[in-house]
Formats: sequence, structure tokens, C-alpha cells
Amino acid sequence: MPAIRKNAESEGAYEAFEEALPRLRKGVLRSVLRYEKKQFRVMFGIHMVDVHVSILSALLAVQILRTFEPSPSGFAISALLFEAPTATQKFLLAAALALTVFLLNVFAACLHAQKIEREMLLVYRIQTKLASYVQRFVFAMSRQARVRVPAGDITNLAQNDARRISEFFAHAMVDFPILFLSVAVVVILMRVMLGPAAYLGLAIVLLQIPISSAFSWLGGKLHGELMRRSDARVSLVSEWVQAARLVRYFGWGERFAADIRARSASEFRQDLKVKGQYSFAFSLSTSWSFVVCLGLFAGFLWFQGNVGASEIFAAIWLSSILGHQLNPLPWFVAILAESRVGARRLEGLFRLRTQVEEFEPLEDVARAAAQVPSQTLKALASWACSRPSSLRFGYALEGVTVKFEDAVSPLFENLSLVFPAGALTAVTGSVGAGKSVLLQLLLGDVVPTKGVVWLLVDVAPQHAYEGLFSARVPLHTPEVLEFVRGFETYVPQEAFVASASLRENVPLIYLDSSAEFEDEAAVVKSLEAASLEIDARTFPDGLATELGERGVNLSGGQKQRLSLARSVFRSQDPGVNIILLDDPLSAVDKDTERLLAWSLFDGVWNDGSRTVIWATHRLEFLDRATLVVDLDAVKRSGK
Amino acid sequence: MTTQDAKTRFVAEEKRQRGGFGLGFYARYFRSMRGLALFGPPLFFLTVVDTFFANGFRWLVALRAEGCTGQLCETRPSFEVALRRGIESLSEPRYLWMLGCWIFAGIFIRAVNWTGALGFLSNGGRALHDDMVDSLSRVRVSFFDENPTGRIVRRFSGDYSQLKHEIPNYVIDIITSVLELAWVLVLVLLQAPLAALACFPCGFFYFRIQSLYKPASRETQRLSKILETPVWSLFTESVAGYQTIRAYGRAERFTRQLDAHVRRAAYGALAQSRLTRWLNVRLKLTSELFGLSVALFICWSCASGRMGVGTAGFLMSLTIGLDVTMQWLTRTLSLIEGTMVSLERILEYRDLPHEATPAVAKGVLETAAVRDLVLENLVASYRADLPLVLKGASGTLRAGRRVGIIGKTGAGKSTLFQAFYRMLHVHSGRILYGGIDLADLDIREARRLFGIVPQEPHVFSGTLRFNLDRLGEHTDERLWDVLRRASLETFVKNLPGGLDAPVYERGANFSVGERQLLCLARAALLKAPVMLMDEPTSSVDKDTDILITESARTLFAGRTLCIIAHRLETVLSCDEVFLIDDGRVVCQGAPAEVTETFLKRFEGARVEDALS
Repeated sequence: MPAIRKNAESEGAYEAFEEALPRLRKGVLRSVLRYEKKQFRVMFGIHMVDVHVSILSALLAVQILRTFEPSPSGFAISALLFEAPTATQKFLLAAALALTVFLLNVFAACLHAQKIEREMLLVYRIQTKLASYVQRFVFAMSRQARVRVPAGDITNLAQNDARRISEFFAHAMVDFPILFLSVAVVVILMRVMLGPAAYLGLAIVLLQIPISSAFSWLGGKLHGELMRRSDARVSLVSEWVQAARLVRYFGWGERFAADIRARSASEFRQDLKVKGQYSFAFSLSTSWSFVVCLGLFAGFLWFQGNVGASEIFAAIWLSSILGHQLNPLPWFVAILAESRVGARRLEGLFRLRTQVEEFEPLEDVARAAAQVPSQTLKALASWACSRPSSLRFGYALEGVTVKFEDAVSPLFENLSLVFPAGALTAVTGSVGAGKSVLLQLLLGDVVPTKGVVWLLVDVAPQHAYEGLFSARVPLHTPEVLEFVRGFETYVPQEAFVASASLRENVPLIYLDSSAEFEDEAAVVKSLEAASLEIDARTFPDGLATELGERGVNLSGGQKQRLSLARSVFRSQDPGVNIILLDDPLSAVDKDTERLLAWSLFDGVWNDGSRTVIWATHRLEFLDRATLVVDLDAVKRSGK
Repeated sequence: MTTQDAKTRFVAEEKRQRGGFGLGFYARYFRSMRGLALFGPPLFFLTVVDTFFANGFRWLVALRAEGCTGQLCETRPSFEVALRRGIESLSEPRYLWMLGCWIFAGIFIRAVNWTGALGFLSNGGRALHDDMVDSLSRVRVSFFDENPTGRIVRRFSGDYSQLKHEIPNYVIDIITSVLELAWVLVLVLLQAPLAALACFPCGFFYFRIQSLYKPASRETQRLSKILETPVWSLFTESVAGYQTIRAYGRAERFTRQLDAHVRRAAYGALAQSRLTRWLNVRLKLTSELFGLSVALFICWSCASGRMGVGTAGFLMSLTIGLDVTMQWLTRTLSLIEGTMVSLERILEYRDLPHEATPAVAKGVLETAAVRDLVLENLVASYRADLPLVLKGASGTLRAGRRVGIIGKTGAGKSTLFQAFYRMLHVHSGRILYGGIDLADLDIREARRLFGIVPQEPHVFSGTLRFNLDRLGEHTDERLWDVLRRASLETFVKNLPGGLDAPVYERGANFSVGERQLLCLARAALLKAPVMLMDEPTSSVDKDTDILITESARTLFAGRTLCIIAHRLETVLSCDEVFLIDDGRVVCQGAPAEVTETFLKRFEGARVEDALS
């Protein structure tokens, strides 16, 4: 156990994400090689020794046989020691050799086991390190870049591509060069011990490479088709299961079952081809060393005439060592190719723009930022530190144009708007008017192509320092965004639910990740405000109920209310006065909506210091708002 | 399904792997393979032959190298002497030809054997898969509410893939390795009976290592799986919720949490690797000890002239690959345990309880004839052991009328539809159609009485035609006719491919309204005399809403139409309205009258708000 702990804590030479990113962008494989250099050196040393010890022990085994051969044709230790050995001398010598072989083999096995352990460490470590770089990158990514990459693809990159890269490094990186070295050594030994027949053997050994490559090419093709058929079957099954009721309403069950059976049969036919291909390839590769032997025997006949039993067994052993070494060669080649593909895909991800990089080319923002005196930012930071709850925030859009790269025309053109501090502003508009995008703009996740979004900061009116401080800074700069994130909460259209307990989901903090104790009563209060408390009472374990992967145990409305509860909870932190709501009430029924509007807008968030910006497609509760922005109208007039 | 339903009924627990699996598993596995009696014996015979091949080759070589000269030969068993003489008498080229034939026959036999055995086992898996499809298409419907879709689909993807790829490979690996070890034992016993003495301690040692390793490996495997799951679930979450996470300033925490998970998962992975190292060293030691004792026996026999160099070489080569076979066997034995739960899960799904249907249908139905549908004091629940959802509902849906159903959320409106389709557990009461009890009919027959337009417009991926007429029963003319009446004709005509236009997953290339209309058309194509319709609520705009109601009127003319109404206009357009509350029909009558009762009952609520 202590050894395992020590291994688990050994970290390799991995850099912090910020330093690693430029390197990862240049080359993932090269970066990993750099981070794990030490480990590779050690493994190389171990493997080098263990392979050659094995070869040495095979040579000594041949010597055991030679001891008893009446007239050995090649080098024999017995001939070196004794001129005419007696039976006892022969026995003692052979027994000593056998013991040495035993010890050498055990030694090699111990070394090999060491190496295997390191391999498994690497498989695990390289993959998880890459996954954690990917996670950090996702948090830093610009939204524009992120929406283009499906979530499944990113998970796939971290799970499968990173896995292949780590397998390549763990199993092939060290073995690959040693393979060539040891094959060369074995071939030289064969030449020395077996004479020119060795060349014939070598030729047959090398023949294996094109044969097995051909098989693995064929296998890849057959397997691709198998996966395709398998996917087709599974997607039909999942559609059938999802619509189980509907299928029965319409009496289509038998037809669906028949179609699925047809697909499973077609998959099986392909599977048979794959299995046939695999069996032939497997059989050839496991028996290839016998073919090599046959070649060597033919060579003996051709070149030397008759040879002794020890040569014959030397041929068998050496060719089996050779075969053993060469067996994984096609796999090495395949995994090298796969990991290069994986690395390229990962590099593709890492080369996408981060949020901060997206800010760089914004000329208007840069110009605006240059106008802001540097003391303002400092003052802002110090106010935020010492008197966070005194601040309130607003936004001003000044001639903002938003045009997405692939869009024909801009979504917003020269838009100027003010979201006053401490007000509840409702944003309405038809589908596609850009309500969501407007909120993303305020979140910093969308950048203005032209114009500036200003963050307005001043002291809340009921506060003693009223009027003492106010500032206006452009939002889309790394520093301001970082700053404002300490004061905002956001409820997205599609609720995000972490697969943790309700208790952890509301503060969005995992219980075991920090020692901080989150007040249970505050969590319950937030749930009450979001009308989720009654539901929570019916949950089997109350607050401790695990919500399942992405909240599978919750209905759509419950997820939305959880998301609201999270926002309420967060808004209890000092100074968290910005509340951005992206149509969060769309999935709840009208009664609940009324209740929510009452408990949120008239309740917890109704203390004059909150800036609530609420995008909505329903018009029922607009009377709660201090200000209504109709995006369609605003876009038409430009104001 | 309403949220209310979801709360009363908790999701069933999934079967999990506990403890080890014994020989019973293998017995059950083989028994469930199709055609075992026919294919089993020849495949086993082929495997026995196949596993002899490699050792046989070395033996042939040894016999030739040693020949049959001197007193050495005479002490051997007679068949061996004959073999030796035969091989010795061959000329060099002929001998090589013989070896060549042996090798290529061996390669061929192995390939055929593995293809056959893998194909056989995988076909058995396929048969189980198809049985599972049959079983699932007859299981009672509430099963789909108790089990999340993902879980059911996993049986067909992950579990099935293990059943047809991994388990066959492991099973054959195990049989082959055991037979290989058995051959080594037989050959050693034959050539060097004394060395067999070493078999017992080594065999014992191997067995001990094995029985220590297996449970340990099982536990570490499970541990590392348990420890690894949170890593990936957190990762997936981070990818999905990155925007929320960073807007709340929690990115740092999430990365720290991932690192913490990773560090914990490291223990699992490293414990496994440590265990593998432990196993490898011990197995190698065992096989080398066996090899050493054989080698010492050889030294003694050769020195005393009892054994030739050829046999000596042969014996030594027998012990060389031993540890690899042993390692392979141990590894496979522990790997197969991890996959066995897949078989258990699939067998569980193969034997699901079926929907209740009378063995002999008692009633005969005049299909297509429109008759009264009568509910008689119906008491029902989703499953026998769950709370009642219908608590004595009675009423008559008169033939050819337009009947509205109103009631608050969770009152049991859509449950009524489920009852018509016999998807509930009926405790008492009955449903009569034209005087015949639905429960006496064959279930498929009974379901043919109804057509439905569900609230959620579900369409299948594939083609439009496939969505309307999955069974291929209708002519193009009829399809176009129905599409016209569903106000979809021009829309479909403009699609690429018309009726064969592609429909993406979940109908992503159609708007909600279009999907609603498609569902209407689909229901209208059925010849059912009773149409059930759950009016859409908030998902479509008002214009589409009106279009749908209008289309329904023309499409379902002449049939009984039963609408769960959410809008006042719809309620008022009905011939008759049922008010449902708490699983009972509390009021049945003219629209205006029932609406009034409704308002009295739920004081202060506006009709439209209360309905939705």
C-alpha cells in the first residue's frame, strides 16, 4: 500500500496548464515525451536488460543439450572445461547450467514485472493528465469555438484519443526501439550458431511483417463495417425503446422486432467475417515461428547437410524468441498511427481560441480600455475586497455590432442599450431575435464585433458610501471579466445539473473538494425560494439524494428550478448582485411560474441592489419588470 | 407521463455484480447457446487437436533428431518405437515436406477451429439478443417507466457487445489454455514420468496463487471501476456545463475536483498493476521451478544414458512457454468474471414478465364499427403494488361523439388513455366496447380499436413514409389523401423526395407544429373507430394550435373522438365533457355545465390556467 501511494503521488514533469498550452498546441506527442522523459529512460534500461537476459538464458539452455551431445558441432562450454567429461562431470555441469538458467529467468521476470507496472502507471497517468488539460481548456475556451465542437467529441478526445496516446507511450514507446535491437542481436546469434541457414530464417521472419500488416488492414476494414452495422442496430433499438408506448399504440411492435432481428443478423454475418479474419491472422502469427523453423531446417539441409539436436533446438528457441519479439510489431505500427491521429485531433482542439484570446483583436474594446485610467481598476479591486456588498452593477452597450463568423448578416447592428443598476430588466422578442445572445454578450461569452459593452459600477443607494465611488470599464477584457465573475449568477436556458447530491448541486461545490461547510439552512432557503423544497421533501434521501447523471432523476421543470435555486443561493454571497436569467421559466407550468415570479422578483431579489436581466418569451409577468426591452423593436430603431 | 407519476414510482435498481461466479455460470452460459449438442462436440475435438499441434511439432523434430538407435529406443512404448522408425526412414526432403504439411495443417485447423467456435458462441449471443427483443416487446409497459432508456439500451449495446465479442474470446482462451497445460502434463508424464513428481507441488502452488489472485483482482477491478466513474462523469459534466460553471466562478473548483478524483482513481489503477506484478512474478517462479525440475531430471537421465538429446530438447522446450499460458489463463479467468454480469443482465431481460392477455380470446370484435365505449367503475394502478391512479371511473363515450376531458394536472386524464390500451393493472371494473369486455380480447386486437395523438409529437428517424405507415399497409394515394386533410400536402410536396424525404433523429428537421400534424396524419391512417388525442399545450403557437384542431376535426370525422382539452375553445366545441378529479369521473355533461362545475370545484382558478 505505501508503495502504491508513493506511485500515485509521483507526478512526472507535467506543467501547469497555462505553460503547457503553447507546447500542447505545437505537438501533443512531443509534450508528453518531455513530461515523461524520466520514466521512459528507466523503462528503457529495465527492458533492455530483461530482453537480453532472456536471450542469454536461451543460449545457456542450448549449452545444456550440447553437454550431452557426443560431438557438438559448435561452441560448447563442456568442451572448454573438460577434454573427455565423465558422466558425473556432465551431470554437474548441466545441473549448474540449469540452475543458472532458472536464476536468470527469474531475474528477467522480476525486471519485466517492474516494467509492466510502470507501463500501467503510464497508461493511467498520461490519459488522466491529458484529460485534465482538456478540462481546463474547456473552461478557458471561447464560446464561439466551443459550440462548434459537440460535447460528445470532446469526451471522446479525452477518453479514447488520449487513451490511445497513453497506450502508445506505455506499451510501444520503449518496446519499439528495443525490438529492433533485440531482433538484430538474435539474428547475429543465429548466424553464428546456425550458419547461413539463419538468413533464410530471417527472410521468413521478415515476411511476417507484410502478411500481418495486410491482415490488420483487412481487419480494420471489416471492423469498420461491423461497427456501422452495430450502430445501425443500436440506434433502431434505442428508438424502439424510447417510443415503447407509441409502438404499442400503433401495433408496430412486431415489425420493429423483425427489423431489429434483421439488423442483428446482418451484424452477425459481418461479425463472422471479422472473426474468420481474426482467427486466420491469429493462427498465422502464433504458428509463424514454426514456419521459420521449417525454413531453418531447409537451410540446414541446403547449406550444411546434417546438424545436431542442439542446433535444431537452438533453431526452435531462437526463432520462437524472434517470433515473440515480432508478434506485437503490427500492433505497434497500428497504435503509432492511431496515437498520431489522436494527437492531431487533440492539437486541433487545443488550437481553438480561448476566451481571452478572443478579446485580443477587439479594437474598439482595446481603445476603450486604454481610456480607463489604471487607478480605476485598482480602486475597483480594493472596493471589491473591502466592501463587496456595497457595490451594484449595470451594463451599457455602445454601438455594439455582433456578427458571427459564419453568418451572412450581423445579429445586432450598432446597438445601444442601458441596463441600469438595481433594476429588473425584461428582454423580450421573437424567436431568433437574439435574447440569448444578448445575455451571452453580458456574460462575456460572446464578443462585440464592433462597439463596447461597458460595465457600470457604483455604490448601492442605501449604503453609507453612496456616491463615493463609481466606475465605467469595458467588460470584454480578461481582468474585468475575471472581476465581474465574482458578482454574477447565471441561469441558462437548459439547466445544468451535476451528478452529485441536491445538497452539492445548489452551491455547486462538491462536499469532499473543500473543507468549507455550506450552511444547510441556506440551501433549504434557496430551494424554498425556487419552489423546489416541496419536491425535495419527497426525494428518498432529502438533500442527500443523488440526482443521477445530468439529473436523470429530475423532470425538466425540476431541473430549471434547481438552476434557479442555485442562482438564489449564490446571490446570498456578499456583492453577488448581477442575476442573468435566460428564459428559465419555459419548462415550468403556469402555476409554478406565478409562484416563482412572486417568490423571486417580489421576494429574495427585491432589495433594490440587484440587477436582474431576464430574457423571456412569455408576456405574463412583465408587470414585475422595471424596464422592458423588446429586442425586435430595439433592433428596428437601433436603440 | 406527468411529473406526479414520476414521484410516486421510483426507478428500479439495476442489477449489480456481487461476489464471484462459479461453475454454474459456465453451465448456464453453454446451455443458453443455440445448437450446443450439434456443434459442441466437434468443436471441442478440434480444440483438442489444435492444442496438440505446437507440442506435436517439437515432438516430431525430437524424434527425428534422436532417431532409434541403441538401447535407448527399446525401452520406449511400442507405438513410439514404430513412430521413431517411420520418421527415421524418411529421406530429408520428405521429412521436411511432412513437417511443412504438419505446420500448415495446424495453422488451418486452428483458424477453422477458432472461427467455428467464436462464430458458434457469438451466434448463441445473437439468439439471446433476439430473445431479449421478443421479451421486451411483450413486457408490461410500466417496465419502460421504471427503467431509464439508457439502461435498457445498454443491454443491447454494451452488454450485448461483451456477450458476442469478449465472452466468446475468453471462453475459448480458457478452454485452449487448459488443454494446452493438459497436453504438457501428458507429454511430460509420457517421456519423463519421474519429473511428474514436480507437477504436484507446482500445480498446487499455481492453484494457490490463482485462488489468491482471483478475488483480489475482482475487488481491485471493481474498485478501480468505482473510482474511475466519477472522473469521467465529472469530465462530461464540465464539458456540458462549462458556461454555468465559469459564470459562477467555479472552474477552479471543478479542476481541483477532477484532480482529486484522478488521484483517487490512481489507487485503483496502481493497485491493479501492483497485483499484476505480484501475479507475474509468482507464475514465472512456478513455471521456472517446474522447468528446473524437468531440466535436472533431464540432466540426470542424459548423464546416465537413459535419454537422448532430442527428447531432452523436446522436454525443455515444453516447459518454456508454460508461464505465458498460465498467465494467460489466470488473466482470462479473472477478466471473464467482469463480463459475466452482462450475461446475467441479458438473461434477466430475456425472462421478463409478459403483458396480461387471455390465453383464449373470448370475445369477437366487429372492427371498424363505431360503438359506445363504457367505463364501469374502473379501479387501476400502474403496477399491482403501486398506488391507485383510477379510483372507480365510470362513464360512457357515445359512438361518433366528440368528447372532451378536463381536469387538473395529475387528475388521471392521460391515465385513462393508458387504461384503454390495457397498459394498467386493473384491480376491478371493466371497459366495454359495444358490450364486449376489452380484457377478454387478444391484446393486439383490443388495441386496434384506438388511435392516438400524444401530446409530445414523437417521430421516428428514417423516412416520412416510414413514420406514417411503418407496416406498409397503405397505398400512396391514401397517404396523400390523409396528408392533404392534415394540411401537410404542399409541405410534403416541397420536401426533397416527397413521401420518402428523410426524417432525422427526433424529427430535428421538422418544426414542432409539423410534427404534430404528422402525428395526426399517422393516427388518421389507422382504421380505429375511437381516436384519442392529447391537445398540445405550450409547445406550439396559437395559429398552429388552431390548424391542428381543425385538421383533427376533418380527419377524424365519423369516429368517436376523445380529447384531453387544454383550451377553452376546444372544451366548448365538444359534444360532451368529462371532468376528472382524483381518478374519478366527477361530472359528465354539456360543455358549459361541466365548465361551471369545474370552476366551482377549483375556486379562483381561471379555466385555461387550471387546464394547462
